[in-house]
Amino acid sequence: MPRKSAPRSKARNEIRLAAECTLAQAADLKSVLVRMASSPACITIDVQATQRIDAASLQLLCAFVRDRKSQGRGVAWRGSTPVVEEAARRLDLHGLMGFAPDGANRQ
Amino acid sequence: MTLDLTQFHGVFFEESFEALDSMEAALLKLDVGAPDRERINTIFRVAHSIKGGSATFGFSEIASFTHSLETLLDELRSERMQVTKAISNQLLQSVDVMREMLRAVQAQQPLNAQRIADVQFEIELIIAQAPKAPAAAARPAAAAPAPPSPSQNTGVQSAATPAAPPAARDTPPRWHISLRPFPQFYDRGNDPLLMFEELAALGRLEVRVNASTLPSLERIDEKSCYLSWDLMLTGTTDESAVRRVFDWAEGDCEVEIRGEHTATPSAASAPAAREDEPVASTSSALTEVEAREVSGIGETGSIRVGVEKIDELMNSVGELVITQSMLDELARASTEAIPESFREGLEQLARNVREVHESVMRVRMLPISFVFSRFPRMVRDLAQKLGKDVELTLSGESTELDKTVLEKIGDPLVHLVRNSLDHGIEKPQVRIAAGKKPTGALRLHASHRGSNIAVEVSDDGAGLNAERILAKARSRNIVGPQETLSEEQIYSLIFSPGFSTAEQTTDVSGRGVGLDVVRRNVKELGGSVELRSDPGRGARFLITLPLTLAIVDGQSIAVGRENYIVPLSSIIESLQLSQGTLSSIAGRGEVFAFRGDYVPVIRLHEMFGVTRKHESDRGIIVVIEGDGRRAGLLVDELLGQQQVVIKSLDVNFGRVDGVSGATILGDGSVALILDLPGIIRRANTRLNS
Repeated sequence: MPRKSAPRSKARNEIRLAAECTLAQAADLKSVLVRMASSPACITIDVQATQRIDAASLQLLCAFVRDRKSQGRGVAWRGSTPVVEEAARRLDLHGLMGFAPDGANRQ
Repeated sequence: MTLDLTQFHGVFFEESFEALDSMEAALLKLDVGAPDRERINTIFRVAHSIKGGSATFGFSEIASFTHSLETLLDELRSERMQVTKAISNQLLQSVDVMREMLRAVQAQQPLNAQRIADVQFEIELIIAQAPKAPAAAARPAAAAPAPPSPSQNTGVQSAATPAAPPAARDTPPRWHISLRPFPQFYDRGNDPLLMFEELAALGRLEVRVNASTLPSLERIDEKSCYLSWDLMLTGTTDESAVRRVFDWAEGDCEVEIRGEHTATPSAASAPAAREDEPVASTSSALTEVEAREVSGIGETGSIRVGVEKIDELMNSVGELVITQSMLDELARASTEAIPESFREGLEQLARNVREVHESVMRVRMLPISFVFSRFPRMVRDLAQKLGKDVELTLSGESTELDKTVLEKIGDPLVHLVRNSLDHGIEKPQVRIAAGKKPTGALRLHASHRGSNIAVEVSDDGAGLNAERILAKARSRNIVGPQETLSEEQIYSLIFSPGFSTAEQTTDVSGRGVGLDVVRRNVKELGGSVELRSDPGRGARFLITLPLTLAIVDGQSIAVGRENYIVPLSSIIESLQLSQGTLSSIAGRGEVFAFRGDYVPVIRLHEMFGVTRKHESDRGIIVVIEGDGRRAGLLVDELLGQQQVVIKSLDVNFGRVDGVSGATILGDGSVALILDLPGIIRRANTRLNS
């Protein structure tokens, strides 16, 4: 079965989140995140296409950001869709995921 | 592996239908002009929950329709729009559409897209065309939740909902909620995101996550939940509404809900509050009951169990009753001396079995309000259609009866209510001319009477016109031209198939189909229908039904070598037959004098073709009552009394005249359970022929 979720984009240090990021796609998302976790460069996560995200996916993203932060490595967010940020805010995960209160760190 | 959400569909539909019932009940109680805000909030929350569930399961049409409805309700609850009669009707129609949509999706049938689109369009039109009233924020007396003061926010890393309307007169209740998901939480279809959205619809929500147990990314099982949350909800909501948000997650998490109500009415705010409250003389207790009614199902301390599981339990109890009877029988038949302690043990067992049986029966018992709840809407709609003013009064709604009986009583009651509305209660001008109030009264009342339940449908309408009924019966050759009938017999004619005195057939009633169905259905349940009428002043139908259909207290009787069971509740008296007790009526059978009346005698051995033990003038007469009439059963012997488990014969043998079922006795033999209304009917038919 073709894997559509969380593809790595053509840019080497970028992860583009799929339109649907739910439990059904969580295994795919995790494998992409694990692959990128030890990359020394700043990883950009593109949320432009994401229309739906659940707590399980946010939990993975949260662990990814926290692990990288603890290793002194950066994560940046890209995309103007508010879905991911609002969901993170609703679950009080926005701080852990590195979203600034006003979304200023979005690229 | 993809989570199979279809496993949750059953619960979703069940809960949604119940929620719609609550929504409908709340809508019917909504006072146009001066609506109760909390009631509108409740209706809004129901719509919101159904929308959320529908979206989760991918029922996009339902979610879209409910979204429009939710928008309208939001306008109403924020008081930007006022509740009018047209809006109230539109909301009720929307409930119908949602019910139809849910039914169609549940049955995997196509949706009635045109009807859905029409109603949705009407909702949107109402919203678009409505003159907007000032928002609730401008009304200082409104009981809206207040935003927390800056000091309340200090030090709390919180995710707060947008600012709530200001200026509450009391500090609204605060709910501290602790959500501790188990690892399987996500995998069982739970998403805290949706839960928190639902909570946010109830008031101002602050969220604090605990991510201390979140392992490193590599060690995470992506389907397990490692987070937990502490929440604070501020808003005028009740605990059941908060708890309902977590209903779906039962068994997948620990939820603690702690309320903190800090009402601080100031001297200045108190009078304003009174001005703003609706003028009503209801006591606080009544308000609580109403609130509970509105909040509906899903109260704390209850679990949802499938009917099949209860039926299995009921069957096992039935077998237990049979085994206990068998042990009793063995002890009785034993020729050896039985130790006293063994006898005591058997008696204890009998008591315990009865207790277990009663407990299981209680589990199957449901309040009749499940059936009554459909009538406010039905009466409102029908009265409107017929141009009548009708006030419906429901009482005894908490009277409980077996689920099986409950399911079958609905249709007969609908027929009776429609009949009362169409033929009983007159139009306002007719009532005024007759010196009555223009508004007719229709009353449904339920009560327990021994092992039966009595449901009464009465009205203060025109009553039954005996002359007209008789004339109609004569014209249709149901009654002979010279035949004289008592008033009771004339009234019972309206239960004949196809009988109607209505001059015009309407789509409400008048086709003569209905009352015969009522009597047939009620009789099939082992019950009876009684009718009283006071011409010009009203009519009363009284349905009497057994509380349960599963186990009955029975009297064993012997006829020849056969044993039969007579339901104990139907036995009035047993008499030793002596010579000259019975009188023959040429060609019509026999009767005997009983308490100043003549009662037909039924010789059971003739009916069932068995040979009697005694001569014809010896034996016992068991006087029974069923369907409001009496008869005497001529039997050889009275045996013991015992609980018997009713086993249906219909499945294997079809319907047997005079027999309602069978049971297995303690010695393993089978005894037929007598259908007393059927037997009495047969005896009376013969006597009157």
